[in-house]
Amino acid sequence: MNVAQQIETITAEMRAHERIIVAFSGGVDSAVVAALAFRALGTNARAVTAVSATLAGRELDEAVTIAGEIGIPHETMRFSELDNPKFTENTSSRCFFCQSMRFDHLRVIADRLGADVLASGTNADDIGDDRPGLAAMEARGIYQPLLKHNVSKAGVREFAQFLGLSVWDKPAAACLSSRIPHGQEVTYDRLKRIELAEEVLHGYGFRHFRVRDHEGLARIEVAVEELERIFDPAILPAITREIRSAGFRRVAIDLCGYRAAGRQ
Amino acid sequence: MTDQLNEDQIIAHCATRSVHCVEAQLDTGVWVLKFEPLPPPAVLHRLGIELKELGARWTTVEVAS
Repeated sequence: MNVAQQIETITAEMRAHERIIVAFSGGVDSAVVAALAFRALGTNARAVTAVSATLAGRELDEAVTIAGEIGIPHETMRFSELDNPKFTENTSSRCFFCQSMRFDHLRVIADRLGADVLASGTNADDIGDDRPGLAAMEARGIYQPLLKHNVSKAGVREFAQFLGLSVWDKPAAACLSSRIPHGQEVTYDRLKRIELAEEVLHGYGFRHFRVRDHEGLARIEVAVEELERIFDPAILPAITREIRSAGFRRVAIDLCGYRAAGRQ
Repeated sequence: MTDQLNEDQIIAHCATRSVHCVEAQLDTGVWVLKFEPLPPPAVLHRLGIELKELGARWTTVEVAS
């Protein structure tokens, strides 16, 4: 089945529903689901972005932009994972508690709008990792069309290109709490300094990176192909200074480069 | 994963690659290394992979600001 046929299959499936709410981060996965839902149901599809301390401000801005690009009605919903000690204690189950809260809040919106389906952008590659957040979604009967139709991350990017979405090559962002090693408490101050530090790297044009927070030591991971540039003596001292100014006591560059959180 | 190396072992491993590591400090689970002179990024990356294989979970380099 080619991309157009796959898209038509999923869109037809979505048309069986009256209204769909898409949990919308503005990343490529949820953007594709939102675009498909909008194709299927027009304004009976709605994208909702859950805004909390774990979402970088840049990500929210991009979510607003991409929703406008798709044309789908968009709203935000505020909640705080930091109110839940099971989340802040940052065990390996952290994502379960976060996604539970997120989708419980989204369900309230879905009920208000009379939507029978809550959808997420989970794709087929997500199930290969240890992701307790998926268990929270499954327990709540969240519709995961990309996973259901076995669409991989690469496939999602093909869909996005086919649909003309500008985010087709957007790097994965993940929630800011993923930068804090399990066992170290998630706090507002830590999330804020991580966000500020990652803004520094954005500002210097890096694309694939994370700033990991080890009790105030910033361990910077950049993609292997960007390692050469971060060691450039013309910019590294300034990057170090700026990240210290964000609130870190020490700044160090990881020699192995960027690895997704589940592959540390 | 527990770090299985100590400072001397890290410095010695760097020396086998003709890299002069002057300090290796374990800070909240992260090895922070200092070099004189700083080797090229490709050499640092290779060292990082090798040290990980030897048991150092996170290996970094700190550069003066």
